[in-house]
Amino acid sequence: MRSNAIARGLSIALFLIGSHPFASAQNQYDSYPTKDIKIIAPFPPGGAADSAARIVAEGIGSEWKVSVVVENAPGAAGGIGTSKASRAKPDGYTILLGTGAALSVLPHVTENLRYSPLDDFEGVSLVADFPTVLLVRSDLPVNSVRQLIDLLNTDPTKYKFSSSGYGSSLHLAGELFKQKAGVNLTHVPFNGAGPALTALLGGHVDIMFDTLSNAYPYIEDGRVRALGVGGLERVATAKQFPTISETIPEFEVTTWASLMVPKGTAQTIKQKLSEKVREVLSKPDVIRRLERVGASPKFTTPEEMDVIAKESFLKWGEVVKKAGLTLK
Amino acid sequence: MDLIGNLGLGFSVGLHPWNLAYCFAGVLLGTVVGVLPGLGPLATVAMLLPLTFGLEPVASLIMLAGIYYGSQYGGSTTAILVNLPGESASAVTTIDGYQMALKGRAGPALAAAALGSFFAGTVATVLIAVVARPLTALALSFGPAEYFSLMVVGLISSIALASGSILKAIAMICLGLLLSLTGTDIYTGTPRFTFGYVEMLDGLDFVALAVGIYGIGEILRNLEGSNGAPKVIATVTNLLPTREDLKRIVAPVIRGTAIGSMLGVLPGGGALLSSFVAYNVEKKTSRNSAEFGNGAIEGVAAPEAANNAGAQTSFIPMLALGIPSNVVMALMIGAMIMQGIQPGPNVVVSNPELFWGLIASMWIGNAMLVILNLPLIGLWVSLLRIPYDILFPAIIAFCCIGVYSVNNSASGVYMVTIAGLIGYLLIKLECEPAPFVLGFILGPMLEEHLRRAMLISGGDITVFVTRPISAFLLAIATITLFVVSRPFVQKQREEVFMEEEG
Repeated sequence: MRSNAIARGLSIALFLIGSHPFASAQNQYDSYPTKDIKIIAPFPPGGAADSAARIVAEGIGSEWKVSVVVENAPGAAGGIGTSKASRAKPDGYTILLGTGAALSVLPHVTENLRYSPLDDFEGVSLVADFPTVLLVRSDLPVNSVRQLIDLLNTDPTKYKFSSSGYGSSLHLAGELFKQKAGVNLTHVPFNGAGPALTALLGGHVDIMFDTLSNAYPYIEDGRVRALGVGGLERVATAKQFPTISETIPEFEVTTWASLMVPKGTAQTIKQKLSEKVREVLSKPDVIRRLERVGASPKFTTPEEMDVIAKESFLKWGEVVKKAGLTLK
Repeated sequence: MDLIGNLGLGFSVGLHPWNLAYCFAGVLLGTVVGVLPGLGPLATVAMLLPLTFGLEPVASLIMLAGIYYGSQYGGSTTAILVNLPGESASAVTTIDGYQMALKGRAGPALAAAALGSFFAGTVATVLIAVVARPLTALALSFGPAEYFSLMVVGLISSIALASGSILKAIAMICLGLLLSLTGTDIYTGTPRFTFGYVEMLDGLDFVALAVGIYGIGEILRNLEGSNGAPKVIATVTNLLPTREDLKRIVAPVIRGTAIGSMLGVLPGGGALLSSFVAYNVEKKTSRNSAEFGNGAIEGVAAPEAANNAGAQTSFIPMLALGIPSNVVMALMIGAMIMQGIQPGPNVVVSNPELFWGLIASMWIGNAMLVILNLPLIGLWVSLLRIPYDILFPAIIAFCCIGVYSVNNSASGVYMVTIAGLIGYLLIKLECEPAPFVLGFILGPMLEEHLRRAMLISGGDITVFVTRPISAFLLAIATITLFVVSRPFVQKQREEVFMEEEG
C-alpha cells in the first residue's frame, strides 16, 4: 500500500510538474488577450491609414474588453515603425499596421532598413485597401485612359507625373503604368501627396496617381479629371470610375493596410486576431466609418495574408528593377 | 459678401466653447511665457505641439497661435517694468518703456503697449482675412521656380534679421544649409549623411534642433551668469494714459501696424524685425524725436504695434502658401501635418472652418489679451520672482518630454542635448541662432524647388527669369541684398542695436 501511495504521489507530482508548463502555455494562448495590445502605425497621425487603424483598434478593443492602442512611429516612409515592430516580442501584444509601401516597396529601394518583410513578419489579416485613381489636369484634352495613352505616345518627353515621393506607392503606380502601357513620363517627386496634388491643380504637372479619398473633392468640382481606378474591380462607393485594367489588362495597383505580427507568433493567436478582425470589419457601422475616411475594408486569413504579402513584395520588386530604380 | 460669410463661419467656430477655452489657454500661456525671460513662444510651442495631437485641428492651432501672439503682449510687460525683454521682439520697448516707468509713468506705457497691440492685432486679422484668399489663388500659379525665388528672398532677408556682423550671419545661414542636407534625397532616394542609421533617413529633427538651441541654449547661458541681483520693479500706479498720450500714439500705432504687417509676411521677418524697423522709423518721423530714449510714449506704441502686426501677419504665408516665414510658423506647419492637414494653398479651400476659425480666434484672442494684460499686470510681474533654480529644470523636463513624444523616439532627446550645446556655443561665439535655423528650414526648400524647376523645365535655367513672378521675386532679393550690405544701412543697424544695449 505504501509503495502504491508513493507511486501515486510521485506520479501526481510528476504530472503536476510535467503538465504545468503546458497548462500555462495553453492558458496563455486560450486566454489571449490578457493585457493591452499595441498597434504600431509607421506613419504620422492623421490621414486615411491612421484613421483606419484607429477605427479597427477601437473595434477590436471594445470586443475583447482590453485597451488597443495605436502608437505612431513615423519616419523613413514607414521604415522606422516597421523596423521597430519587427523587433517586438512575438507574443501577440505588439502588432504592426503593415503598409504595402513599407513592406513591398521600401525594401527594394532602401538599404539599412533592419527588417526583411518576408522573414520578419507573419500575416494576420488585411484590414483595408485605399483605392488609387489616375488623375489628369483638367485642361488636358483626354477623357479616357486610351486617349491618354495615345496622347502620351505623340511626345515621349513632354509629359510629367507627380508623386508623393521617390519610392512611394504613388510613384511606383506611375512606373507600373509606364511599363504596362508602354509610354514614357517624367517623374516629379514631391514631399507628400498634398503638394503633389497641388502641383497638378496648378497645371505644373500633367498626371498623378493619388488615393481616391484625397482627390475626391477636386474631382467633384472639376479641378482635376479622373480617368480610372487602380484596382481590378470598380470601387463600390464610386462606381462611375472605370478601372484602368479595363483598358490595360494587367494593370493593378492596390494600396493595402494589414495587421502583421513578428515571426514566431503562435498560430492560435494569429487565428484569434484574424477572426476578431473579420468580425469587426463585418459590422455595418465600422464599414461606414472606414469608407468615410477612404478605406475599403477587406479581411483575410493569416495564410492568405502571407500570400498577398509575398506576391506584393515580388511584384513591386520586378517593377522597381524594370524601372531602373536601383537599391540605394 | 463672401468675406462676411466666411467671417461668420469663422466666428461660429471661434466662439465655440471649447475653442474659446483653448484660445484662452493659449493666450494665457503665451502671456506667462512672454513675461518669463529665457522661455519663449518657440520653446513653448515646440513643447506643447505633441500634446495637441488629441485635439481637434482647429483647437490645437488656435491654442498654439494664441501662445505666439500672446507672448508679444507679455514680453512688453517686463520690458517696461523691469527693463528686461521677456521676448526678443520686446527689446526695443525697453528703451523708452523703462524710462517711462522710472518716471512713474509705467501705467500709460503699459496701456500704450496694450492698446497699440490690440489695434495692430485687429488690423492684421482683417488683413489676413482679406489677403489670404487672393493670395491662395495666386499661389496655385506658383510653380517651383517661383517658390525658389521666394526662398531666395527669405534667405537674404534673414541676413537682415541678424544684428551682428553680416559675415557671421552668412556663416550661420551656410551652417544651417549644410546641416539641412542630411536625410534622403527627394529625387533619387539616396541617403545623405545618414551614416547608415535608418533614424537619420528623414534628416535631423527640426523640432529637437529648435528646442535645443533656443530653449536649452538659453538656459545654459542664464546658468553661467549670476542672475541673483534683484531687479528693481517699478510700481504701477496710474494705469490710464492722458488724452495727450492718446493723441500722441495714434500715428505711431498706425505706422507701426503698417510696417509690421508688411515685414511679418516676409520669410525671415516677423515680430522682431518689425519692432526694430518701426522704432527707427518712428524716431525719424516723430515730432518728439528728441524725447526718444528718455521716455517717449511713441517709442513704446510704435514697436509694440509693429511686433504684434508682424507676429500675426507671419501667419499669412504659412496659411496661404504653406511656407513658414519664421521658426514658430514652421512648427505650426508641423502641427498641421501631424493633424493630417497638408499645409498649402488648399487649406483655405479644403478646410475653410480651420482657416476662418483661426482668423476669428486671433481677434478674440487679442481682445482677451487686452483684458488679461491691463488689470492683471501685478500678477505677471510676480512671476518674475520664481527662483530660476526651480524654473529651469521644469523647462528642461518639458522640452525633453515634448520632443520625445513627437516621434515616440529617444533619438529626439539626444538631438535636443546636442542642439542645446550647439546653441550655447553659438551664444558664446556671439553668433545668432536665427539665421542658422532659417537656413536649416529654407535650405531643403531651396534645393527641392530648384531641382524641381529644372526637372519640369527640362534643364532650362532661364526659367527663373522668364517667368514673371519669379523674375520679380529675384529682383526683390537683389535689391534687399544691396540694401542690407550698404555700409550706411549697416551703420544704422549697429546704431539701433547699440542703443538697445546702452
